[in-house]
Amino acid sequence: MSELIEKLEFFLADRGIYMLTLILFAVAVYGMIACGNYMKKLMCMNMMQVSIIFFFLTFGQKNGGTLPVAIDEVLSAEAYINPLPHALMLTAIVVSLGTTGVGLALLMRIKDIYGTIEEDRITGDGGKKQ
Amino acid sequence: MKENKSRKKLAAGLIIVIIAVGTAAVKIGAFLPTIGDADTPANSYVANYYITNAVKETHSYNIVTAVLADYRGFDTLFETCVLFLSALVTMMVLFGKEKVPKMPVKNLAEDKYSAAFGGDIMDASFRIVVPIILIYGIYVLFHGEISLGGGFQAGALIACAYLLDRIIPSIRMGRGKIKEETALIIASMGAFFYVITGILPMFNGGNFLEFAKLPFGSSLAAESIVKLHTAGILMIEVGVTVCVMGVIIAILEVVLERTDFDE
Amino acid sequence: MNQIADHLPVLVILLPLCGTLLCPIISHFNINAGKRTVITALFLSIVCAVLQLIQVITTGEAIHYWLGGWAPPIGIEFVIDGLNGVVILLVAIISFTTALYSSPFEKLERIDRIHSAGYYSMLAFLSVGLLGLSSTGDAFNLYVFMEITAISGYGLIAVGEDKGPIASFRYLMTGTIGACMYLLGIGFLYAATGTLNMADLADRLTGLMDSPLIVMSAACLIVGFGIKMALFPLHGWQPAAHSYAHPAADPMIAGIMIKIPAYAMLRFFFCIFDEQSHVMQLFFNAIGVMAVIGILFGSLKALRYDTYNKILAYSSIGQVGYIAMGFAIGNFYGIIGAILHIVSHAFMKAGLFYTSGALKYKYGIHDINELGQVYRKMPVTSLTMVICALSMIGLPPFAGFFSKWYLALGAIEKGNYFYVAVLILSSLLGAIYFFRIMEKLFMGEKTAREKELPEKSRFELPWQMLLPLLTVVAAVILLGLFNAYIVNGVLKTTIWEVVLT
Repeated sequence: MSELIEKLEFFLADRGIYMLTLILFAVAVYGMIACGNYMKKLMCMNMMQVSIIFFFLTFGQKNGGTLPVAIDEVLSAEAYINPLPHALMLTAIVVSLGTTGVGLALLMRIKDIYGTIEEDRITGDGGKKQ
Repeated sequence: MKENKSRKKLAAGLIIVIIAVGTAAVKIGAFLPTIGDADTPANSYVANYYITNAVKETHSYNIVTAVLADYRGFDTLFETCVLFLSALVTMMVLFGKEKVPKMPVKNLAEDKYSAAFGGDIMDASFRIVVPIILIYGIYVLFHGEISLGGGFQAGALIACAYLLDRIIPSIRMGRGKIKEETALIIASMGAFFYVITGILPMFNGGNFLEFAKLPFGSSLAAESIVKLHTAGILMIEVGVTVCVMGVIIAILEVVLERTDFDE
Repeated sequence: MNQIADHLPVLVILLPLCGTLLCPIISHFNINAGKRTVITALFLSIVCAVLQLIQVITTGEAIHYWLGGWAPPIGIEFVIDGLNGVVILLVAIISFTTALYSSPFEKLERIDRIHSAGYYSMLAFLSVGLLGLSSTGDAFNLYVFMEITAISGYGLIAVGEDKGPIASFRYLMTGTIGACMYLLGIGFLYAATGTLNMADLADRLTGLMDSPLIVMSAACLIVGFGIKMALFPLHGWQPAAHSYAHPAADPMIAGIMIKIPAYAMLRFFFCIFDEQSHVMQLFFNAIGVMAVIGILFGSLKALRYDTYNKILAYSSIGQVGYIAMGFAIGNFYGIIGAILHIVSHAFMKAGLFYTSGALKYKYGIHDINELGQVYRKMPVTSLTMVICALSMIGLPPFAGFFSKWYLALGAIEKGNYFYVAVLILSSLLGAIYFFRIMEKLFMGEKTAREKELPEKSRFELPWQMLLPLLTVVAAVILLGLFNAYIVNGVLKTTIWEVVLT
């Protein structure tokens, strides 16, 4: 049993986290299409964005590296983890925040107009009509 | 119900696709760089330049801030614009649109203790907490380039202080409120300050956002150029702080306008 | 003066950005001044785009502008060559005319200060995003601009007609999947090469083209760009979004918002990836299949509807297919055809949506069955409609003919006669649905009643609405007449040097 756990740990530390993030991505896309409730769709959308952020941060990792805040003029490349994915993902986080905010505002408006945020009822009432 | 059925069929098809993608991902994952390896292209090419030169060139000990605000400052400008834009869209979609059914606001102010959130203890404690949050926000703003922190976090903290001030004191219902439009103008001015910071070097012979050519110091010593980078980073962080603060306040006010406290 | 000339690439974007950020505060004091600020900024942006294109053509070299003064792999750069110079000019012209076109609608709706300022801010942000999308040389910067474009698009669709919010929400869902797929593709590319600059990516990818990482990345990019440009199986958001958007902003949304991602796709697939490699040929074949099905699907679906906007929206799905077909053909004539189709279809579709907005302004409806005898009341609008429609079908003197001509030449050179057959068939289908609209507009019995307008104008429409219509007509005719000059003088050298190397 402990051998199995060791193997799993090795797998995750080696490349497994990529697969986990890609599976998270696939699950989120599945949820966005399969869920009937717009709020759930929005949450799945957020999950998808988080999975991309994980993916980027994973390959910015370095064994033995620390946070990219320079200490005492130590400037060797091995001492710090890769700062570029972190900077990129800060941008991506803010963008995803903006998208989610707009999505929530639209949901409030849809609730006002249709009285519901269930997709079946909205399309059933006249979404198909021209 | 027919809709529901067709969606289930679609979902079944999608599961098959996802399994296919998953197996492909396992195969491709073998070609992705090993996690934690320092010699992969991702970790060795441009990234090493940032780590070894950031402190020398930008005088920012936080390398992520150096990348975010200086090397890739143009991205951050439009990141701020995305935030402003989201507040704008929220406002366009929700502001002035009647919520059905709408509750009269008057009742809330009369019935001050039962209607609002909080009580005596919260009323008292928020007076202590808000100044501390404000001071911490300012600290995070100015300390951002040396340690962790920066404009986005500082803006969120300051807006958080405003939020507490807005929702806790049950007596001041509706007073001390920033109008939605004012908040939006504050946010746009924050983003505009960022643009101005970028334009200033253009009058001094530099490119857009080239902090080394900011028209503040005349001497060409290497030390003063590094100081100019510090000044530039600080200026854009201030712009970002103001913008984020305005955005959060605008969204908060628009949503509060439509809230029924009964629900 | 010399100093300004150095900064042209960034000024094209900065001027609308300043306009849009200053619009709320100026509108606070004077509602008309805020609007005029945005329109002036967009006009100045056209001037900068023209000067920049002239500079590129006269010197014959691409302009590289380093933002922040950092050299490319470290910082972000703008690259302006003959190709995207033309695309930037196109975006600037349509943004300006659309902003001008919007002001009568504002009087019609009697909206308040915040909504007026917000509308113009969003329109200018859409323009900023599209201009940045076409001029940037950095892969991640492209993502940020893509999101700016998308979010302002969501806003403009949501403030539109009754079903606007729901169309906008669906577009938000699909568009975010597209953006995430793009980001994932960039992630794979970054993991394989360690850089984000497009020129540097192209250098470092030589010899890596068979790596599974690049294959995965190309697949993700096809899905990402395909969603943004409404390529056939990924077009689900497009008809509703284009039909229910704000009628004044619709020309911009339908005209250029789906073309610029197509241009970005060209940049990625021909400038970064090696288009001769075995893997890319497979992908181009896949794009070709999507394009062919999309062309036929869009044309057939457009026959089914009676709403003017819906017909135009489905026709767009087919027209995007032409652009993708140009990529799939992949030789010199194919690329020329794709680029010309991006430009000419942007003008044609914007023109058709200008007429749709004019009908909406005057009558308040879109149902073509109720719009008989319109040509008596609105001759200029009907003329624009006819010219744009004939150009869409592909009749010789107009712009639309030449893009199809080059596509057909490319397909024949490649020996793929199936594409030629599809081109001819879809032109016939296009003729059917456009002549159906024309028949209704010219010979229909039922005439709709005009709405009460807030102010009487001397012509059939206010001048702010007539000017865009005339601009589009002029552009469609001139692009057709001076086609040889544009191809030989501007595009030819750039395509040989930049795209097909």
